[in-house]
Amino acid sequence: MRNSIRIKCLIAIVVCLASTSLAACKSGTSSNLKDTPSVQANSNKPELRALQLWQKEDYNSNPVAKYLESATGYKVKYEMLPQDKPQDKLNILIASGEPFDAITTTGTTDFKSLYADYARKGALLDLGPLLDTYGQNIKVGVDPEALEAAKIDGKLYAIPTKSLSSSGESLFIRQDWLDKVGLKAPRTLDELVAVLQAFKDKDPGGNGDKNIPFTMKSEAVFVPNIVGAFGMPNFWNLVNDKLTPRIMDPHYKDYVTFMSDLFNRGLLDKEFVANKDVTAKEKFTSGRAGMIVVHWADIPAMIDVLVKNVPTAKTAYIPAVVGKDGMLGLSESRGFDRLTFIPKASKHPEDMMKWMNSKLDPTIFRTMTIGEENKEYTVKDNAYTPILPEFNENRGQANNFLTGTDDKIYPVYWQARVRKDVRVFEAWKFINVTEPASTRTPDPLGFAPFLPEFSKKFLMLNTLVAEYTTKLVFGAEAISDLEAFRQKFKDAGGEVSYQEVNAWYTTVKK
Amino acid sequence: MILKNRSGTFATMILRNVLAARFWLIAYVVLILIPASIFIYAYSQRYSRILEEEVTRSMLQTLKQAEINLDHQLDSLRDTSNSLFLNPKLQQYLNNSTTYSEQIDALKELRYLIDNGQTNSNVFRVRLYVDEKKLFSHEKVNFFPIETLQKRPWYQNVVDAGGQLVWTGVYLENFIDPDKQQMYIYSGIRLLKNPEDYTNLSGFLSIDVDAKSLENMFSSISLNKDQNVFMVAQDGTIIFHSDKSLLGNKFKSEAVLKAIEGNVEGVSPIIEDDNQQYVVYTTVNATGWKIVAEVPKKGISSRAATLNQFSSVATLTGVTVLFLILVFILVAFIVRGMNRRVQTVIKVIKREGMAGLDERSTASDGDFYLLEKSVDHLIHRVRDLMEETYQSKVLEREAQLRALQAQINPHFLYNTLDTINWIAIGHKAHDISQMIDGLARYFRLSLNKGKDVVTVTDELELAKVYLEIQQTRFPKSFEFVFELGGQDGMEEVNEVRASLESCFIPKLTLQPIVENALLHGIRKSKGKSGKITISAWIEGNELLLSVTDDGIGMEPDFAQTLLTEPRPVVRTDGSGSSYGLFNVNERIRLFSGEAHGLSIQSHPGEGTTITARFSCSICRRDRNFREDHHA
Repeated sequence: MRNSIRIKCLIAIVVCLASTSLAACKSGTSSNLKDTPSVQANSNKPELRALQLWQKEDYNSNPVAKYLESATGYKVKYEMLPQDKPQDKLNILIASGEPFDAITTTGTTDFKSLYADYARKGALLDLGPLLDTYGQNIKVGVDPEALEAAKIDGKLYAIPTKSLSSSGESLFIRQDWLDKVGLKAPRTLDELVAVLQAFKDKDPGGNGDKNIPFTMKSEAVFVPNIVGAFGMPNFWNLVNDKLTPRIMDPHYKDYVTFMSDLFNRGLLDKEFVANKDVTAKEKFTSGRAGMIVVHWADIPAMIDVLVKNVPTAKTAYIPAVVGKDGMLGLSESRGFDRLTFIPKASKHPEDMMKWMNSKLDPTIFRTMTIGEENKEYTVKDNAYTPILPEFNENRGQANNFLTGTDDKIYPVYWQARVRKDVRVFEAWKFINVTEPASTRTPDPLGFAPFLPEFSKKFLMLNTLVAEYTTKLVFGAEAISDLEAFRQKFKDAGGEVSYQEVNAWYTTVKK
Repeated sequence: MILKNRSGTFATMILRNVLAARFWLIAYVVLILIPASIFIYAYSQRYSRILEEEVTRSMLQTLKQAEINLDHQLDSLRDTSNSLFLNPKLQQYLNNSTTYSEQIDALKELRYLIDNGQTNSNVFRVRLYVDEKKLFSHEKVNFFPIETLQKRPWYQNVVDAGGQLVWTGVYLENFIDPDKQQMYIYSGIRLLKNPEDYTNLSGFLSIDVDAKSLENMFSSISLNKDQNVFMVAQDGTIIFHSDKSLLGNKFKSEAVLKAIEGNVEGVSPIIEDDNQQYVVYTTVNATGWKIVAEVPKKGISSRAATLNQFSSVATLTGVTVLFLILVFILVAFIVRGMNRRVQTVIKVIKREGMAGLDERSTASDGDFYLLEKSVDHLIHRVRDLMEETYQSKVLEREAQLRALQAQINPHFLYNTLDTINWIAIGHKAHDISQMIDGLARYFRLSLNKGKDVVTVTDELELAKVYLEIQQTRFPKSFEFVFELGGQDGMEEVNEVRASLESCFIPKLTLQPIVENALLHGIRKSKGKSGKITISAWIEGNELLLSVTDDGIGMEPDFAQTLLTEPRPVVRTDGSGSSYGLFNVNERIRLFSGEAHGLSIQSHPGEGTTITARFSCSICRRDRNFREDHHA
């Protein structure tokens, strides 16, 4: 009620200002009356100020900005956070109460923690009531799980834009080698071992003693796909209703044993510990390795080099292999791509919410993200293909304008972006579309809020575990000492993280 | 046509002016143009040399700047290499890792060290060549087996250096990084000895630098558009060259290598394949490499020459303009001076008239003095002429007055004489009447109505009247005879008479001769008596009149002088001048031509014969003219 009065006052002021300025311009007063309605129509939608992520080009001149202005009727003045140390700048802006109507940040851990901080300190507007009043499209479009994850102390202070969940890395194999040894793509761990053994014994690449059945970068000691067959596709997996890191996982021992076996039998690159990403890729693209761990986005560059070296080479991802008890899966990333919040200093919070809501109107959302059909994209059988270069020119930066997505339809639109290279698209499609959903295990920590202890220790613990595991695979450490290492892990912060994560997890589970 | 003519005349005028100004032109050429040209030429030669020196020196400075930059860069790279080399952990991890566990730990530590080394922005990559048995020897990003290095030409150098840093030239290296598969780099490599066993080597450390840093450095060296900047090692091997195919080869120009040999830095002009060029070079302290720039002399010289040409032309133009200004100033002064003099002359003339000019002292010399003198002379001439004219005017007036008097008097005279005649007749004094009549006739004939020519008959008549009057004056003292046409036959006499009637001669030609014959011939003879014979006859085309007396005669030489020398004949009675023979002779010659005139035959005591010759045709023509005139 108070808000509506304030708006009326505002409108009155704006109208007065507009008419006086018009009066100043025009001599006759009669024309003022005629002009008033249109002025009032505009004054219903004030100019909004939005603080965005850094990007190379100016937001205001972007075709998306122009489209949004015409489609929503809101003129928005976009400003950018700096490229370097955007956190510092944001801190200053929030502390000084700069009247932005919306602030969009990335969804990374540091910004997540800033967001939580601001919310708790009362710098942000509780979006719940506004969402109920003006945010119908948002409520329908945005994944409720993401909305829930964005809540701080039970209140929503930001509209989250979900990361597109996808599985990235898997095992990429030389299909021509498979054909040569007369085997099909492995579907179980045993089949995988058989294939690698065949690669080693039959040397389909003709590499002699340089033959490597399976290579990977040293960081990939928890081999995607294989580790899924041991029930540990993600860093933390659910074990007995508790989120458990891999080192504490009961299947850890089995996995290490399996990998150690591969290493000892010469099926795994004996130098993998020294492999940087490029070293492993070079081994594969030079034709010496039969299988590699790779992200679908890297595939075109690799195939280009491989075909240059081995013109007959053919490649493919293998399906997610099944281990004991039918365990399988690839890690599926999840989380916030970005967060959009309204600071209390905003002068037009209702209008901002209205604006964000209208951006999720199905037509506006589609046009905003991928443009117009037959101009920026074509659609056939619900598959969106970009028209280049128009798509890149007009909608190349569209993702930076997102303030929440229609999570049911956006992954489909997003295909238009992946289709820029057909090999990328095919690889992405195999893992994320062709393979059944059961093969993708979402990261349970994806929508976790900022967990200070966990965040602090995550990287360090991860490295510790990876090094230990590598040594185990090499036989440099004995598996019998596992409990001692687990204790070391707990002491190094593993236990605190475990408690913290599971404390949060129990709240989500309900 | 007119225009052409005009322009033609204009051109000739200019030509004439130029010719007239040749003194100035010659002065200009000799005094200014030639010395200026010589001076400018000498100056430009010297200037070119200085400029070339300056340019090459500044080139050397540029090179030295690049050298300093490179040195600095190499220093920082050496520091990186040293800090890695001196790190005890490096040796430790390279040597003491035999088990997998140790190797994994070693790899981690070495990576840490390498990443540290790679934080130097000049370092493209730190590479370690290690024992192939090492787990990580085939990592191919930072770790390589020693065998890879052994294939390189500089391997032996590195081994020989025994732990000292050895810099390679720029070479092409293959990397496995997808975006940098082939790169031009140069490396500082050193041997890593096993600190516990120096005979055993534990590996090689290579600090790689992107050759782009050299490229940037060299491309920023801008000396000349035809420059060729490169870097060679002490043995002449090309370390860096924009033409990558030359890398690692020996530089092929012996002359260049010779020029740079032995010196740290310098500028040497060399001639190779008829191309003159400068070799500017300096030495990189850290490596002994020489940064060499080949700069064609032509480039520098042409720059200098262009400058010189410009300055020469500018100077010559300047000199010419100055000279012209000088000439103008001089001319202006001269014209002013001339003006002043002319003004003075005019003023003097105006103020004092011509006479004033005489008083002007002409101390000055030269053209203008001459001019002034000419003007003076001219003025004097004009003054003389004016005086002459004035005199003649005066005389003319007098003559006119006399003529008027002469015109008035005869009538009065005749009337008076006539009256006297009648009075004499009335008093029966016939002799008076006769004399008066004779006097009247004398006057009438001698005046001849103011005309200058008379018929021969009239002239004879005048002589007759004169003689009759004188006979009356001096009675019985002489007799006279007229002989016309000789003595034979009447027929001829008649013919001669007719001729005499029609022939005109100048007035008073015969009378003075007759007067002379009477007064000087007869009257001065002893008896004071004699005979005067006047003859007239025609010879061919000539009319001859002669007066012969039998008086005292005279010396023929004296007779001749009478004809050739004018002498005022003053009558003894002092009544005024009379016509002398000279005068008569001149008048006849003027009238009848040079071939005619008087001739005198005389001897003392034998009388005198004076013969006057007239051209008959002239007489007649004259008569015709007279008749026409009268008609």
